[in-house]
Parts: sequence; C-alpha cells; structure tokens
Amino acid sequence: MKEQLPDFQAITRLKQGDLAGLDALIARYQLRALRAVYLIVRDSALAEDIVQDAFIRLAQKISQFDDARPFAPWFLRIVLNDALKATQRQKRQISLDGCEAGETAAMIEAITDPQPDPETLIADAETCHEVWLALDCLLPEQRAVIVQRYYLGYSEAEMSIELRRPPGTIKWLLHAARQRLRSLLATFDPTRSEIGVCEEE
Amino acid sequence: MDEHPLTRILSKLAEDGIPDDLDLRATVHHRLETSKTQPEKGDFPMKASSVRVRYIIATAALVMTLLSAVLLFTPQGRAWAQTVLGFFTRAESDVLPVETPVPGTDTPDTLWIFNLSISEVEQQAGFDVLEPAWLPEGLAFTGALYEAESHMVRVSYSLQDFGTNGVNLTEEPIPEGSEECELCGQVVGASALIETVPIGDVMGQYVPGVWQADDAGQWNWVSDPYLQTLRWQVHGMAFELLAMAPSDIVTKADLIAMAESIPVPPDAGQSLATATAPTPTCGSWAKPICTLAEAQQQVDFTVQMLPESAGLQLKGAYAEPGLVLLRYSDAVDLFQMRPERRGDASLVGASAQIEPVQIGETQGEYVQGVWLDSQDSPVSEWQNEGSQSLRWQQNGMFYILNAYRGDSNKEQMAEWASSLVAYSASDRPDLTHIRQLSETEALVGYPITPLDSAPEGYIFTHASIHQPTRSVCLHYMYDGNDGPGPYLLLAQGPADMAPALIQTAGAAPSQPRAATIGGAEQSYSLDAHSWERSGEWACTSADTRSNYDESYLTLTWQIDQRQYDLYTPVPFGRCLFRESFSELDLLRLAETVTGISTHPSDEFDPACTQDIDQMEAFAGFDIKVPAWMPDGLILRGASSWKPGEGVMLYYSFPDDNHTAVTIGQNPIPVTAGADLLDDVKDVLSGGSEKDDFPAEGYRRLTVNGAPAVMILGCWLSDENGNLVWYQEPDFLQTLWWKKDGMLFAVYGLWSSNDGIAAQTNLVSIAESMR
Repeated sequence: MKEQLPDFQAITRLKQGDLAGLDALIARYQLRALRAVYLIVRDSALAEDIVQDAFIRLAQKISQFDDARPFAPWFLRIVLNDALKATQRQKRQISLDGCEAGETAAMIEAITDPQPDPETLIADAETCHEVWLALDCLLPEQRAVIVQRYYLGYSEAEMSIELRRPPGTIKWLLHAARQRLRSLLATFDPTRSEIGVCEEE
Repeated sequence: MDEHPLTRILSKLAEDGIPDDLDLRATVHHRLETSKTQPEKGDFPMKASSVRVRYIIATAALVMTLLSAVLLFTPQGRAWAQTVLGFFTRAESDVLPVETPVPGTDTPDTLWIFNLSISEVEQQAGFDVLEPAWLPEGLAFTGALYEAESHMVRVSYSLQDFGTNGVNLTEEPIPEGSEECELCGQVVGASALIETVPIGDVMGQYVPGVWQADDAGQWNWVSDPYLQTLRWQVHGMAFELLAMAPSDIVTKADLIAMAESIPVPPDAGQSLATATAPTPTCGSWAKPICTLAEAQQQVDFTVQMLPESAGLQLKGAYAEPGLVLLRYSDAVDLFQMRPERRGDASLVGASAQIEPVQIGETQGEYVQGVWLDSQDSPVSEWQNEGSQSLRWQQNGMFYILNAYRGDSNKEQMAEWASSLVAYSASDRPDLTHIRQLSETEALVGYPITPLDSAPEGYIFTHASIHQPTRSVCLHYMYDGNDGPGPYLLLAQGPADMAPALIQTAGAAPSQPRAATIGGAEQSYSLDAHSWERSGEWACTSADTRSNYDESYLTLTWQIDQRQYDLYTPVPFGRCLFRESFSELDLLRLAETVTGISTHPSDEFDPACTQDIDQMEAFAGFDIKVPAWMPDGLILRGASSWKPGEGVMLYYSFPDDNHTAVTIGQNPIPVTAGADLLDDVKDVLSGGSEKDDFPAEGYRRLTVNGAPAVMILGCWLSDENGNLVWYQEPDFLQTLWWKKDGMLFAVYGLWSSNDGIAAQTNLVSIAESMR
C-alpha cells in the first residue's frame, strides 16, 4: 500500500514528481502534525490550514530536503514554526482573567509527578478541561515547548537540535512553561467557560 | 515506560480536537493541482538559473544514486560487479535483500549537480569529453559533472519541454591493461530484458528497468521502460546512456542513434589512460586557502583584486572553473564569476531595497539584507539588515562584493568595486599569503623549518612574512570544526632581529618556565596571555597577524641563531577539546622542528592520560574510578595540574566533543566536625562569590552511607555582572561527598546528553566508586 512506503522511498518518489510519495507522507504524519499544531493554535480549522500549507510547500520544495536527515523532526519543526507564526498573526491576547481562583491541588500534584499513584490519577474530564484552559494562558512559545516535550515526546536534547537553540534556552523555556502551567492550575477558576474538549471521555 | 500525566492529557485534548478520520490528502492534491506557484523571492534584473533545472538535476541525481546504490550497497552487487564482464548481469532473482544502508537514507556527501560546462568538466577530468553529434528532439544540454573518485564524467541532457529528466551520458576511461571500470558491469533483475544491440562497429547492451526498494527491505527489479540503460565500450572508453523519460519520447532507437553519433578517436582510451587530473585544492567557500596565483591557475579569466586603498588583507582565495572567491579581512568577500556560474546569487527578498550604484562606466546594484533560516524551512525569509551586497557585470564577468559586518557602506564598496586591480603573475608576491615553503624561503633567504607533520586535524594553510625582521609565520588551521580555526602558528626568523619578550599589559605576573626541547636553547613555556614580543614580528605584525587575534604565545625557543615561537589559543589537553594541546603536546611539536626528540610517545602527560596508575603516582593519592557509568559513556582521560592537587576524570560519548560527566577528587584538610556544605562552599566560592546556596539550591542525601550534598545549580553572572543563582533540573548538578580526607564531586552537565545528568545517575556513579 502506498501509505506504507518508508519515508525515504516516499521522498524519493516525491522528488521524482510522484504525488504518491506525498500521499504516503501525509497519511503518516498528518494527524501528528495536525494535533500538535492544534494544541498550539487551539483552532482546528486553522490547524488544518497550516498543515495543508506545509504539505503543499513540502511538495513544491522537496528538492531542498536533505535525504540524510530524518524527515519527521524536520517536517514537524516546520509546522510548529508555522503554528507559532500563526499565533503571532492572530495577536492573541494572553489574558489571565478567569484563571485566578480555585484549587486543584490534586491535579497539580498528579500532573507534575511523573509517576503518580494510580489511585490519585486524574483521568476525569475536569482535568482535561482545566489543562486546556490553562494552556490558553501560556505564551505560544511556551505552549510549543510543552507540546514538543509532552505531546510529541521530544527529549530536551532533540528539542535543542531541532529548534537550533542552546539547551539552556530550551530548559529555560520548558521550565518557565511548566511553572506557568503549574501556577495557572493552582489558581484555576473552574467556572470559566470554554470548550470542554475532554468531556466526552 | 511510564507516561507523563501531561502527555496523556495533551493526547486526549488533541484527539478530541482533531478526529482520527481527518484526511488532508484530497484537499492537498486539489490545492496542488489548482495552485500556481507564486514567486516568493524578488530578483535582480540579472536573474539566476531556474529552479526547475535544479529540480530536474536533483531528480536525475537521485535516480542515478538509486541505481548505483544497488551495486555499491548490496554485498551481492559488489561481488557481482567485480566478477562480471558483460555490461549487464542477471541476478538469480528479481529480489535482492538490502542488508546495508538503504538508498535514499544514505545520500552521498556530494549531491550530483550538473553545473559545469564541457570545457570546465574537461579541465577537471583531464581528458576530452566526447559529445553526441545528434540529440533526440527536445533534449538540450544541461550541464556536466566530474566524479573524481571513479574518474567519470556525467553529462546531462534534459527534456526541457516535458519538465522531466532526459538522458544522462556517462563516460569513463578504462585504464590500460585493466578490465575493470565502474561502467563495466551492472547487476539487473533475473527478468530483465537485456538486448544486445550494434552501436557502429561494436556491440552494446540495452536494458529497460530499475531496482526499486520495497517495505520489506528488499530490492525488486522492475522492467519499467521509463528507465532505459545502454552501455558499450569503444577504444578504451566505457559509455553509458541512461534515459529517464517516457519511452515514447526517448526511445531505444534514439539512444542507439545518440550513441552512434559520439565520435570516439582510436587513441581515446590510450590518451585517457595516461591522463592525469590533478585538481589543486583551494579549500572550500567556508575555508578558502589558495593564493591568488593558485586561484588564477584554476580559471580562464584574469582574477581581479580589491585595491590596496581598501586596506583589507587577503585571507585566502577559493577557485573552481568559472568562479573565484577572494576573502579579505574584516569579513569582506569578492566573488567573480562567469555569468553562467552566478546561480541564485542574485536572488533577494521581495522587500529588499535595491539601489542603483555607479561603478566606473557600468551600473551595479546594492542591497542590504540576508536570507535567514534557509535550512530550517523550505522557505527562507529575507531580512533587510545585516550583510551588504554590491553586484555588477563588467567585461563579461559577474561580480559580487559582500561585506558581512556593519562597518562598510555603500559608497565605500562602490569605490572599491570601481578600482579593482587585475592580478598579474609578475606582481610583487603577496607576502601575507604564500602557499609554498620554497617560495617563502626564496623570499626571506633562509631555509624554513615547518612542523614535521601537522597535528592531527590540522592543515597547513599558508605562510606570511614580516619583511623588516625577515621573520615568517606558518599558519596551521584546525579543520574539524564548521568554521575556520582555531589556528596553530609557528613563527621563526633571525634571532637577532626578534624583539624582546615582555609581559603582556595587565597580565598577572608570571615567569617563563624552562622547557625541554631537544636541540634547542633558551626554551621556555609561557603562561597564556602573559607574554608577547615587544615589537612587530612574525605572526603578530600587521602583515602576518591575520590569525593571531585568536592565539597567544605559549612556547619559545632558539636554535642555530634562529628564534621560534609557537602560538595556540587552545593550550589545554585533548581530554577537554580535541583540537587542544597540552604543554607536552607543544613540546613534541617543537621537537618536530628541531628534529631531536626527547619526549617519547609513552611519556606521561598529566594534562590528559588514560593511564590511571601513572596519574595516581603523579597525584600522590589513590584515584577512585566508578564501576558504573550510564550506557555509552567512556573514559576520555584524566587530568591534573600539579602533584597533590585534584584529579579530574572526563567521560563522554565516543564521538562527542563534550564531556558529559566529570568526576573530581581533591585531597582537602578535613576539619573535624565541619559541615560538608562548608567545604563545598570553600571550593566553589573561593571567597569571591556568594557564600551561601539558596535553600532550594541543594539537598542533602547520602552516598554509601556518607553524608553528601547535591548542589542543584550554580552562580552565574547576569548581563549586569551580578551573580545570580541559576538552577534548572539537569542543567548542572553536582554531587559532593567526603571520605577519607578526600572531597569528591560528580558533575553532570546537560550539554547534549539529556538524561545523563539525572540525579539518580549521579548517585549511582558515586556509589559505584567504592
């Protein structure tokens, strides 16, 4: 099946002008890219636009791709950069309104503890809802590093390489993002109205 | 592996926002079909080569790579290629296992770019390239390239109207008396349709098809007529025509006709067998090292130089057929090239401010700005600041004058451009940049003694002469980094003309230390940044100091009335940086000049040794070595400054320049009852920094039952020079503990080794040092 083509073969075909190669890459990476972008821009339609654009540019500029490099981190970096640019264009106002009251101590503990007690795990919809709202209060760059580290699963070293930033900067960004998230969750206002993305769980 | 709760939550959020069944393929296809690519970059009137040609070339290169990879990368391919005599040999099946790197993931270092003219490729190859007198309709010459390793020339003819690849002609001389050549055999699938066809008076073989890799990691032969190969030999020459085009546009008959139209003189093979193609190396664009004379030899036009009035020093030249780059001090480059070689050099951003500038009787264009992030994204972004570029055409040549620093200006650059000076072999030699020692010797009138061999990783780049003192500076550059340098400089000249050594202003007082250099007199090791020559001399004068600003004097000696100085900016040991030199390394280098060796290869070097026993003898105490290390880390070496003082053990990954884990062990006077934290403060603060760690900056624990403290950060200076406590998990953590009059420390620095510095790792390392 075409979508099972390995990356290198898909890229080779795409470089030869065969769009089957592009299909294989889209099939393999679209959901991961879309979801990562969505977590940053928080708008599924905009996420679709960004990832579509990225695939189209990929097809047009594939000759510039260095075959010696792994495709996935290269492509995901592009879409994440595009997502950040999109948030800048949106000029979203980062407001802390609605994030300043309430107590979610158990959730904070669970989120910040990499090995939580299963009994205290926060698998309920409320937690997802609160994290979603708290993410909105982060700067886009902070959301991006959170997404890379905790959604895409990059190590800090990989992030340093892919973002071409010193490891110290990555660590600082992550630290700041985590601290911000933590403080936001600690003062979360559960009455704030937003889409409850986890409520169906 | 436990999943972080935040990971789980983010996954849920993302899956809710983007459902599994979302598929962009149809939309992307539709947009691709309906979109018309808009130019994203503005351009100068002197427009560059088309992207399409490059696309075609790159595609052709990829297909060719895929084909050759079968032979190169599969054991069967290699074996068969060595034994078969026919142009094509059928494999036993149409499937070959791929046991080694798969084509496409292991791209050759140099992508095939057909960017040379026939005359240029002949100059590189050293033999006449034979061209077909007839081409199928629609085919046009694209360019050629030379593969030095296989001594083959590839010529590309593309199908311009169809936007597809076309035909590649490859030519290879068969060495006299040899039956082996790259084009002499190729493995094809068992089902391949090999045809023997007449080509003039000889027979060739034709086969349609290609090896394709599948998901199972196997090569499958596909008789796809899009790829057609014709091979033949005549008069000691091997040829291949590879068509990459629809078979109804380039037919088998076309290939045969094309082959028959190539005139091959009877002595072609013989003359090719004796042809030599010495291509003088000029380094690279990043590291131009040629002299003007060498650059001039590479091109068929007269090299132009910036005028002396520019006050810039030539640092080196780079040349290849049709193009010369002169790199000057103060980050100024002058490119000069045949117009067809200018490539995309003219492209600037759509927002660029292009200003007309009069240069003599011609008009050029000036722009300030730079493309950013070309490697990070398919789309580079133009920024209207930074580098300045002046471009013009004159007398059939295309010029670019780039100034990468901000202290030049448009008017100044135009003035330089208006007064270029033609290089002449009869010109006074450029004393700042001489490649040949013999030429240097002729100019100074005495024999020059270089290092017997450049240190590992270093190359000799050039010599420069300080005329008033007849002293010479030999420049050796470390070639293992991305950018130029660091440099190792060796100065020499008549001793009676060498200015005296004086202490560097502001340096802490220090005395030269007597050094042992075989056969030398007045040999001294000098502390870094402490000593200099009191007047101009080799390596430090205006004429010779082009690489001095990064260096300092570390070793000086005399022999036979000749004064020698050795300068290096990296006087540590190779435990820390691969390009560094310990004092013993430098002494050995000096002895390659004197020719008398007194430092045997097994002499103990406390700056970096893997001999722990000898280090113990030197240090005067038992060194504890950890029995456990995180996977992959190896001992790079141990170092110590003075007997009785601390010893450091450096651990890193084999190919990493960075040290991931460092272990220090220092004998200290242990005050009875003193708190460990006080000892650590004494070591770290030295009385000049803050005395205390913040409460959250450390935690107490034990190492094998002994009290220990994990310091979780460090004091760093901020932009105002104030010390601030910097603490980040995994940034820098140091585990300290005392035992038997020794203070131990395991440093974990994040560097590029994420996870290595985890506290649990540091404790495990420490506890394994029993």
